[in-house]
Amino acid sequence: MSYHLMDYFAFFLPVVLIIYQLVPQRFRPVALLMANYAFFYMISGPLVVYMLFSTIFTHYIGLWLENVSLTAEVEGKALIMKKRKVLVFGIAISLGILGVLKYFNFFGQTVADVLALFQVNFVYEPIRFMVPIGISFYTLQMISYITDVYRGTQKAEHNLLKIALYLSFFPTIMEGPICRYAQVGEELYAGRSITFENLKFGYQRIVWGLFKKIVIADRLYATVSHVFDNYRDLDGSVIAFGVVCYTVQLYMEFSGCMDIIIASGEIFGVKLPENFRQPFAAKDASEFWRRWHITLGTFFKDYIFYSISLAKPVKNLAKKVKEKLGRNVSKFVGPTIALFGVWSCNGLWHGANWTFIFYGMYYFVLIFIENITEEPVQKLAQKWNINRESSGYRMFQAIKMFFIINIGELFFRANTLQDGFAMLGKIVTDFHISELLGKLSSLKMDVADLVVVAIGIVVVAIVGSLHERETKIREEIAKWVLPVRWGMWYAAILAVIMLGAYGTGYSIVEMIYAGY
Amino acid sequence: MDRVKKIAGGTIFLSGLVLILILLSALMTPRGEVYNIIDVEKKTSYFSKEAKDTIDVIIIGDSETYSAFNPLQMWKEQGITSYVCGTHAQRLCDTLSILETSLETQSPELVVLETNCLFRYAGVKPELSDRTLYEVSQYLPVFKYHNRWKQAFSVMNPTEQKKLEKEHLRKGFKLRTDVVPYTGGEWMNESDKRKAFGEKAEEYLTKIYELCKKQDIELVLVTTPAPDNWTYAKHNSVSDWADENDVKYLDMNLNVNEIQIDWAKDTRDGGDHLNFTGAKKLTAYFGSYLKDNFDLTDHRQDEIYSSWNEDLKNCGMKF
Amino acid sequence: MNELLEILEEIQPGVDYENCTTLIDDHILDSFSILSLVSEIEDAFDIEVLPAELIPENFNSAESLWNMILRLRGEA
Repeated sequence: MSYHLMDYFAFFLPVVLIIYQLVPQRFRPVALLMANYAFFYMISGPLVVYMLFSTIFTHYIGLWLENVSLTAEVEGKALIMKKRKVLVFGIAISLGILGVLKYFNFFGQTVADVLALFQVNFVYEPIRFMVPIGISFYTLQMISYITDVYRGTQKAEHNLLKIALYLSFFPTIMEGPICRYAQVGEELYAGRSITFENLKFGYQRIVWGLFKKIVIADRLYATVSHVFDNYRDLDGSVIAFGVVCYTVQLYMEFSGCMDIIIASGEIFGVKLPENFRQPFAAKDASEFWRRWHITLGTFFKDYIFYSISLAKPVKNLAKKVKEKLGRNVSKFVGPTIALFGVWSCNGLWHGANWTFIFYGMYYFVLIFIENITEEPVQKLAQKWNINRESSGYRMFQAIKMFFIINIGELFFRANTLQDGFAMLGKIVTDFHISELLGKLSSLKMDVADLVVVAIGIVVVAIVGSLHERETKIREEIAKWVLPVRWGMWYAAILAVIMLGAYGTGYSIVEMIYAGY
Repeated sequence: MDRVKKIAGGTIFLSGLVLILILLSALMTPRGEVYNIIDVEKKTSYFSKEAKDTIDVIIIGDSETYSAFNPLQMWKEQGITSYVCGTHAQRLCDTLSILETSLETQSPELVVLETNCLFRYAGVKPELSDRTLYEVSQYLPVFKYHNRWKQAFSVMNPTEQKKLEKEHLRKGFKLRTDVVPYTGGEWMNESDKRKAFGEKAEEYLTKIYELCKKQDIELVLVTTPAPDNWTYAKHNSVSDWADENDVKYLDMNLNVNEIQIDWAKDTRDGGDHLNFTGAKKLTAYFGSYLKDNFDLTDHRQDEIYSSWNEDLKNCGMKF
Repeated sequence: MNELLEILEEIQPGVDYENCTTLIDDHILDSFSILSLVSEIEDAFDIEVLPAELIPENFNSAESLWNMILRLRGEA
């Protein structure tokens, strides 16, 4: 089961929608919960017990925090300390489960590697853990809820059903967006009727998501795997092409699935937070991360960045630096330490692999540089009379970001960190554009594929620039006269069906070129 | 009223969509079940360019065929007109489909089926990762064959086009000169073991057999020497079927010494496929086998077939 | 209030702080400037700002910032 399969949008989702609509409003939350657990069970089977435990645990920690506040005999600092113990316990258990399931083997192997440096012979035998679906995502939702209750920005929820719905909503379970309880908790429980408008707009956005995922992203899959697995035999230009293909694939895949997910929520009357906002229009790395996987970025900002930079030891350190070196240096202390924390977590969260940790550190360094150079650059621009809003400067930023993003994704996708460096090295030292042009049609894509991908990217770029101008595209189309409007949606649906890189037809294409 | 209008609108929209899909399905569906529609159509579109009723032997199967049988060499040596209709990793459903189309323009004496494809799944497997898609595509085949539009683009790739033209000139033979020796030992130790055919393979083999019988064409089974994929157990299974149906079967794995295959030089991938020098020896052997066992006409002196001599001059191969 | 406006002006000059009510929503203050701002007002008004206070409602305008400062002062 996966959101871009017909099993989901043409079978599971419609069946759930019909049942949900037929059931009386007060039973709808229960119906939805059953759908959530059925979905979870279809993918992870009995591992659904992890979800059950996490739900009860999260609910309990919320109540416990509330209870501490209500019954406390102490006030102020002492109360905060008491609550903090509960918070730490709650987060430790949530992260502990995630940590053991996802990172145990990584740390085991790392320990073995480190010991090997000291000539200690220790062989680590990896343990095969069964990892429940979506644990990286719902764990963050648990932490955000617990922390919000601790901070007092969220009231503890007494209704267990509401927490259960919040953690397990089936459209979001596989890859987010990472929601806050305040955003979706009540809407999930409201059991609103499905309206014709929501159904229509929802399925329209699903078609759009499928276009990005099936027509563009899946078409690039074979080329990308080929380049990353065989880069040693390929020219730097071909590797660079493969890396750009991967960036496109990743964006189309992730944002396309996100369209399907958010649209599914929309049909139920649940407004899920957006996860992408035209990331390639960003002018620097930190803006890129306010436009790419937004809910992960805001999670890290709210719960790690602020927590670290406002923590006592960090503040004290900043004060000491201020006394010695002045405000211009000290103001970077807190944010930089916090930034390091954020990007270590970001890297690790993506998976226990050195490539991801490097990816996190890469953005840490970039954003750190952006922070400390912001003022000097501003002054230089003034001195040399450069308008930082001019189209020329914007162009320069866009080109800079093109390189930054693609180099980042190169390491993100590389099989190992060494492979990543080797690939980058080849791109820099062994780059012959003629090699790429000569091989273009034999890189697991034929001319037809290249044409479809190119047209697809243009369409997505046009839609993106409309979104950038805050055009509500579906609403605009709804105003067109019926024949044009219907013609346009028929064309969109047929484009997905006819141009989609799916089914036996497509695996054939892979096999043909695999044979050469 | 508004509600009725909305529901009516939605229903009409969806009915329209289904109608379009039904029409597209009618347009896109080949007759019969086809697995690799792109390869099948590539092959049949070139094959149909051969002058009507001039091909006496159709050689069909998977990659073994176009690596081993060289029709122009057989033309030169025996005057037999043949064409290789094999495609990469061919499944028997595709074999049947290519044969059906081929027999519309040609009425050969012989169909030579290479047996390696008998041990492969023969139809289109149900797609288990997306059951709904599979079920829907049973009723609306456009979901199965939607990629056929891509063919229109193949003309836009001159390199690919040139390669296919060359292959057609060589009557389906693919010229490969790479050498990767086979270093293993004997692979055909006699035994009583049987290896079952691929799923649905026998069903399709019977269909092919009956099609040939109906058109009065003799079906012959052959196996090319391939230590990498052939075994005695497979040989036994094919033999059984051939005996049962009274079909001639030639397993050249048993005649490698006679053919004088040199495994250090004559294979391009360590014993899975023959290369050009291997094909040269095999074709010489197979040509005389056809000459001796079947009543095939030598067309070399016939004016109608003069284009074959032209092709022989332009094929860029020396025998 | 004037002291607060001076701090704001120093951190990010050229913004109409007296009237702007979308300092966060329009990304005028990014997370980096928010932190500089916090450390400045902590020193200037002798308060402690906890992570829980770092929500758009408190930072979107000079007025809401001022209200937060007053509230935290009262608590201290």
